[in-house]
Amino acid sequence: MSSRSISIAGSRTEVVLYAVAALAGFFIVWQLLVMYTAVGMVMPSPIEVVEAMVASCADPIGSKTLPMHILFSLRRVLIGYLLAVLIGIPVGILMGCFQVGEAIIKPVFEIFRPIPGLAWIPLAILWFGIGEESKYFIICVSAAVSIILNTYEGAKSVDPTLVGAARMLGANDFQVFVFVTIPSSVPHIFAGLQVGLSSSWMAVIAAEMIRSSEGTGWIITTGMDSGNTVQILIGMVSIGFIGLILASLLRGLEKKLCTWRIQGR
Amino acid sequence: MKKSLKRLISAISIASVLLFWYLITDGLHLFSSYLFPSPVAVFKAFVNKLTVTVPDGGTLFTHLVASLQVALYGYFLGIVIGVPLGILMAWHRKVDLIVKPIFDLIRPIPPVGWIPLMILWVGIGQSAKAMVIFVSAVTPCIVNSYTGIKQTSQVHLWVAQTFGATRRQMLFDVAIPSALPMIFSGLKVSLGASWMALVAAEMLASTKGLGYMIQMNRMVGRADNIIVGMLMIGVVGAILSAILGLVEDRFVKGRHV
Amino acid sequence: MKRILVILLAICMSFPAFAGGSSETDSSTIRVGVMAAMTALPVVDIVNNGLDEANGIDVELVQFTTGAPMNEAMAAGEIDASCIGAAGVFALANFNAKMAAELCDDTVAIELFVRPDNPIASVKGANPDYPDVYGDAGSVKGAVVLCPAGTLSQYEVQRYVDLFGLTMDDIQFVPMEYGQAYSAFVTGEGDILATRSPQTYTAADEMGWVSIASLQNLNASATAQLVVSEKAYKDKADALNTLVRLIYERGDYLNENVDYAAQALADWFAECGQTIDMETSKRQLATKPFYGTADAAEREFGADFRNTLVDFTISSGQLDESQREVTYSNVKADFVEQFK
Repeated sequence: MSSRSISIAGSRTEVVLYAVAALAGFFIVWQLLVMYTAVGMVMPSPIEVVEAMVASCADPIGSKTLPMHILFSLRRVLIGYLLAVLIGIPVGILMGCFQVGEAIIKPVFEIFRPIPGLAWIPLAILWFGIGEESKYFIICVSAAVSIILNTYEGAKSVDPTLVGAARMLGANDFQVFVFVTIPSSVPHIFAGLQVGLSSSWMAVIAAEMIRSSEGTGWIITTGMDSGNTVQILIGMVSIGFIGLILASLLRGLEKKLCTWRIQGR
Repeated sequence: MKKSLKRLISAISIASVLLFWYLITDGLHLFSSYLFPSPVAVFKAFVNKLTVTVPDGGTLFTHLVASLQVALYGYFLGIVIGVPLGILMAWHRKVDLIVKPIFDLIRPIPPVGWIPLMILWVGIGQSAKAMVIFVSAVTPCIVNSYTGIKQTSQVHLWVAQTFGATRRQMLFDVAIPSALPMIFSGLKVSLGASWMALVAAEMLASTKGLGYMIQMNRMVGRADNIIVGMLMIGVVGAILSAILGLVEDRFVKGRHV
Repeated sequence: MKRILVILLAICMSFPAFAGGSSETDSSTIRVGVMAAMTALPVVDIVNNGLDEANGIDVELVQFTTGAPMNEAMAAGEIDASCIGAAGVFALANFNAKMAAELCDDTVAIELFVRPDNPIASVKGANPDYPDVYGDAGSVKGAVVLCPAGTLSQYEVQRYVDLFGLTMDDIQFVPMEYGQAYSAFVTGEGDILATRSPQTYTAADEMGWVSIASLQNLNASATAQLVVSEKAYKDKADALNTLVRLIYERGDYLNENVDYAAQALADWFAECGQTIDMETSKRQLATKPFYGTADAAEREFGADFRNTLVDFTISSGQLDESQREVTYSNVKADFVEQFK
């Protein structure tokens, strides 16, 4: 990553070593806190959580095992997220590249933007029922916001010098749009895709609050309902890890697709 | 395009959304009016909620003030901790190497998940809710300050070094000023995130607040009040980000991200 | 990289889709909303034993994790009926749902606890009409109460403070969900905790907290009920009639076969992602019997519902006085007529 070049030029092994040490330290502190302080009253130790996670790969929580719960949630998130990408990028470009589009969409978008997924639940049930569609809707709404916003800002912040240069070389409006505006907003779009992906993972809790009998969000909600902290943590750790994996996959894709410039994160 | 024309189009746009809403509810009765009241009904509920405390124990104004307090409390905490931490991570390699893996691991955990720990550490008062918001607010602050500093042009740093700047001067006079637009866009995202985390935060031991108002009205089945709450969150959120936009225009020069 | 993404997508997309119930169903199909609670057991057990199909109806269970979406789903026409406690009153008041059957006594499940060193625990029977209730006006005044709002628990708290001539303004009421309230109380927050079974058992046995009042020793009575949507009440009356008959008959059976019922309850909780052991399951059933066919014949249908829930929701401002009549009129004894 080019952005790392300022200070981290160090070897990969060093990065990995520090990461391992930091994570080990984190888990050891957690374990010690649980063993020797009041934290133990409300939280299980990491060892307990890991044991319970391993156990739940064979013994079902509710009617499904942990991997199945994860797959169910993953499916919901991916479909909701893809919808958000399909809607978000064009809407963002419409807003960023065309003044009429901006005038029409922006005021409405600004009002709907701050409304969180949780607050949409009653209307989602009415519009999409209690099946999978309403869950896609909640996830899509949560992810679309940052995708639209970043695409919009990307398209707005195209360097006027580049546009001028293209025009001077005889490019028409369409060519400027396709060959200048779009490519130069790609890093912003990818930043939006990243944030959108993590918000869609977080929205899975809200989505599965609608009605469900499976999924990582469901695991957390039932855990909260019965005060089962081990179960809550199983859900949180699963969401955390899968979120991490998805984010790295997307980062890899970004590296492949826009080698010329990576917005470091 | 002229500004006035743009305003006109925007006004027409909002008006047509309202008209569409009216058409599918009171106009054509496509949805049960119990779950999806018309804009007229929602406006009545809004006027009503300005003075009436039933069924959620507060007027719209008390809810709004309570929410603003909690959200801004959590937001400022997020800035005060997030921005310096992000800068520190980007500037000091050791800090980066140690903090980043932990940050990456904790980051995807949704705010509601923190509630049990927050209760233990800060109790069930105002601070617990603010901490839930803090968790959402701090991430964009860290990420953007980190990225902003990392994107400092190498050439600028070399120039500074050549002129004999200390590392401290390089940070405060070169890196931070050039990262400001990025940091500011982090502050904007973070403000949005804080405001969105309201509903989740106010699920925890609240007696007032817009999120609490929505939850209580779901409980008793008052969809008109739910939509008033949603639109309040929307409009106030839009106003907050507009205010921050003005501040940004005034204080941050250079690239507008 | 691309390959991984493609595989990931393929796995997820090919995963069997469980589409939500379609909005139109035939008149013998009843979609019933259920939650991880004892209230759902008769209906769940009917389905598990295939009794619905044997009697010419088809019951689809729709599992919910929290209460609010159940009413929203019914209003949206996504379910026909729900096994529901106090929240059912809002369905009757707001969108003309009907109360069709009483499922079980809902009062014992909820208790108020204090820590043993709390002064409330040292006074008992201050109001001579309620000899088993702890506390007096002096010790209760100003207490911080952790309790979910708008539930039967809030009603219990209200009744409790009434006993000593206090009002809700004399205490500090902190609305919190059961699970959160419990863990907050563990960490030392609050003075009084409202909790429900099965947590009531751990509260008393493991934590050593003192039960200061239950709805039972406050002489309150409340029921959990089967609530049906207005549309189902009109269009699926025959099927509902059969379902109500099966529910009361199953109530008899479950009351008689305690071991079977305890296992069935434990299984149901497990299916909902919550673990309870057999002993807890038995305790729950012992204190909270189901209504059977004899109850259906003898009880004044809906009396507890009217006197307790409707009164409470109106007095606490959650419903308007003008909604009282319509709520009362939606308590329908049609289906229990068959037992008289």
